[in-house]
Amino acid sequence: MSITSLKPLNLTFPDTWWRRNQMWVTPLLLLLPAAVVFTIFVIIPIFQSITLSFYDWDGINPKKWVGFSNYTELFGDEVFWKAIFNNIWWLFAFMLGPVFGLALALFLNQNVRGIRLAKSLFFFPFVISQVVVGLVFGWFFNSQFGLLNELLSHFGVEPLALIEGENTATFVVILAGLWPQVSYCMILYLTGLTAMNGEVIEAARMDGAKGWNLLWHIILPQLRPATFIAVVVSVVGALRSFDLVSIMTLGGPYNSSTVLAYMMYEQTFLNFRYGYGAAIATVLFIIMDVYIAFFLYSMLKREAR
Amino acid sequence: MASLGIQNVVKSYGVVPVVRNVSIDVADGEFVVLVGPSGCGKSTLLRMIAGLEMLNSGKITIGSRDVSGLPAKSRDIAMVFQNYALYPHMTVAENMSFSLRLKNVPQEEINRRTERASKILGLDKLLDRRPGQLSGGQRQRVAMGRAIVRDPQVFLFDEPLSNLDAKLRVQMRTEIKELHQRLRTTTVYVTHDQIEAMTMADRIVVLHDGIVEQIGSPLELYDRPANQFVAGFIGSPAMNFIKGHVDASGQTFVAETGAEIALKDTPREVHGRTVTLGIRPEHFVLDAQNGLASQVIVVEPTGAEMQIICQFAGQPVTAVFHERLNVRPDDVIKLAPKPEAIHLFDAATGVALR
Amino acid sequence: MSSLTTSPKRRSDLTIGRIGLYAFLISAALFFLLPLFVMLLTSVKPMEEIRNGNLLAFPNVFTLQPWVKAWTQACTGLKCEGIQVGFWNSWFILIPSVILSIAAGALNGYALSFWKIRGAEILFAILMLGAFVPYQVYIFPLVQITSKLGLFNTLPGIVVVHTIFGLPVMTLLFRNFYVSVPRDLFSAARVDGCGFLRIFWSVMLPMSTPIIVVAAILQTTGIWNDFILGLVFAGRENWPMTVQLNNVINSTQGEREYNVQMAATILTALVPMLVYFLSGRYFVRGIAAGAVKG
Repeated sequence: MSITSLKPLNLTFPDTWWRRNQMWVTPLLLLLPAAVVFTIFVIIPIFQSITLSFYDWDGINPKKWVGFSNYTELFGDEVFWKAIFNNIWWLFAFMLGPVFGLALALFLNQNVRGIRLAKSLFFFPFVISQVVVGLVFGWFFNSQFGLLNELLSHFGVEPLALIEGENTATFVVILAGLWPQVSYCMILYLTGLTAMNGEVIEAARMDGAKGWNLLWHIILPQLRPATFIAVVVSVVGALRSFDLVSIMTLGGPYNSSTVLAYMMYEQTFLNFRYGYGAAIATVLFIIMDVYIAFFLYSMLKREAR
Repeated sequence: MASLGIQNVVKSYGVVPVVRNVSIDVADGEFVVLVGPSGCGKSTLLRMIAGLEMLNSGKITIGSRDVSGLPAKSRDIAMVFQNYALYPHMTVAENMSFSLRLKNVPQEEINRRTERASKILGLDKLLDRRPGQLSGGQRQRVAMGRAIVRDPQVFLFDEPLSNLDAKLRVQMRTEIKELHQRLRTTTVYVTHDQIEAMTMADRIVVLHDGIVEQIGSPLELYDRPANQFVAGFIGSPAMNFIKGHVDASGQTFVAETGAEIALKDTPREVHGRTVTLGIRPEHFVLDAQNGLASQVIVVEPTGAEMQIICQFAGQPVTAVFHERLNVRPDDVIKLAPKPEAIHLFDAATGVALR
Repeated sequence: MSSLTTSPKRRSDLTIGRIGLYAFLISAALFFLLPLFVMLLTSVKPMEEIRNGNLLAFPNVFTLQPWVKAWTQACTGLKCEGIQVGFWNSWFILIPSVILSIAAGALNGYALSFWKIRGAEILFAILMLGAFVPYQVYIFPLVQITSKLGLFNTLPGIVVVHTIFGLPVMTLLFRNFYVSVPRDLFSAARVDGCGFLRIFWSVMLPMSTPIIVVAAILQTTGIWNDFILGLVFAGRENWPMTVQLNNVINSTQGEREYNVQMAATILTALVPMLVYFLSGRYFVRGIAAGAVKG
């Protein structure tokens, strides 16, 4: 019955440490190179940034230990506070991302003709580069050539110089940032809606839940994971804001639209004040840490469940 | 093919013991079923035989070689998993021949074996399909085919039928049994379903909390359970247990309610002792003279038999009758256990007293 | 997918609610399309028309000259070789970076998914850190390190940077995918005779097509759209299309040629848009899966 042409197995296997443990040692060895590279290129640089923030350095002359003087200068720097406040504005405004995203997602989550086309239109801002977004918004708000003023002129409104205005520039940039962010949150919510348990909704309908009640008590609680991610990515997006500032205003006019990330870039790569730039980076890092700690806490708590 | 030895095997995850000192000898060609409730350690034991989990101590031998330290691939075993674990990107033929290809077996040999296995299992027409295009029963057969082509020394089955519907399960049960009778490969089969165990096994190992409660043939376990756990686990519907004591003469069991049940041939040691009486549902008779008056709670006719749940000696018991009885809830029937079919267990330890 | 907020279908074909919905969708679509439409219009008008005319008017003279100029002659700083230089640079950066980051992410995600010992959570936390911390926090020390290694301002340099920065998200993506693969499949492969790497190569990787597609979409759009990393690390010779585009817009020699700028902008947006339209439902999945990227 049995087929014997298969060579008999070599029956003498030494019971070595390797044989017993290879199933968990191999993954460890696999992870090692990535861990080393990640340490060299990400972890160590973070700490180098922190160290560098206690030095004065222009890249040519030797580094000079200055203690906390970069920080004292920073805290006395008007531009720094402007950047902080602008970052806070970004943060606040970006919290609208999940709100509008949810509203759009609920609107788009319908069975009507042409909805797929509509959906793809709304995804569009997220697909294209921030550089493109920035340029499109820049042109839209441009005081001499902008579409906005063109449209307003039909209603007899005088041209506005919003992007060139000291008090308005940062909000134009934020608006540009919000555009793809709303798309992003909408996509997250749409995915959440698709994954939602339809039976629960039907049960709630039978219980008489409608409209706001249905949304508030049944749909939103089920969308909590999506909300969580949407808030997370919005906060990260707000703190990371750099590309748009750099493309639309270069932080101007008169630093009125700068943010921490841009200020750091400016001080380091344009003014060659490496220590000062590192101090800004460190502040950004600390703000981010508070936030990451919160995020990790809630994520691990959820995984543990 | 070879015998399989499990000697004093211990396994724990951290401080949680899963398998405590288990020893089982499986003869060459034998079909052994490991059965027990979930969490009893049966799957862990199987995975240790397979080499998927390492032992903390003890020894596992296949034939004459000690395989305790060997990885799964060097043990010459084949395994069928609960969820079939078919490779979704491979065709049926590729799934079955994967292990042979890994060993660089010549192509003709692979073809021959795949052909043979697919004929045995009736898969010849499905060889080019992917698992996603197969029904549950067909997937199950492919998983078995994957084991057969290896021609391994030991087959391991890990609850292979639990994802099939009831009808298919019965059919596959027969097929696996037939397959074993044909190939005579040493087989260890894990299930939580005692009916599967009873119908398929040459010998059954009942596991509970990581220890072996009893090893024996299906009928041995049914007729002479070693303890109350095995008695309650084997047989369906389950054995009824009634607490009480045996009177000094050894002739009568007195339940806690004072109801009396006649005993026969009781060993001396149980006379006057506090015990648990066990009686299988199918071992009740209607006895107008000596039966205890029992109020019927529920009547469940299945066609072939009738299950009657009634209040007997102060507690609900299940009785099964093959004849059709004209009883309804709240009727009172006179119920008596067959004295020769009564089991007695020590009230404290649960050990069978006979 | 059934609708969640509207009434069931049988009730109506044209209710006020439905008309309102369409009105909203159409106006929203207009809002999204108008800028694009204006860009497209402007890019095919000669400059005189732009100077004198209505932005929304159709061109009197249709010309593709701005597109040709954007592609071949537009000035990016001192050189005037068009946006095509950036286009090719972006591809040179994109292809190795996408391949490397996916390969590394798949391998690490696989290793992580089977590594169930203490410490995995710490590793996880570190990965999240890498995914979240703004680049600006460590970008300068990274410049120093890459220049010490001779990678700064080189093509391999920017590829390495993209690969490393893609690593956390790619690893998470693949880890989550492999964790969802039934454990028994892994066991079956072991019984069949596979070692750890063999399981990856012969069993896991062939099953991973959907997640590889998702990863490729995520990385392609992400790397193509990147601005700051390309700007800082690639070096003048290798600047990607986004950086070149910004330079085209900002090189203010003479009159601003809006038609050329618009054409260059549309060209830059073209690749991710193509990826998007070709990938369909995978794209949405990718964004949801890579959400931690931010």
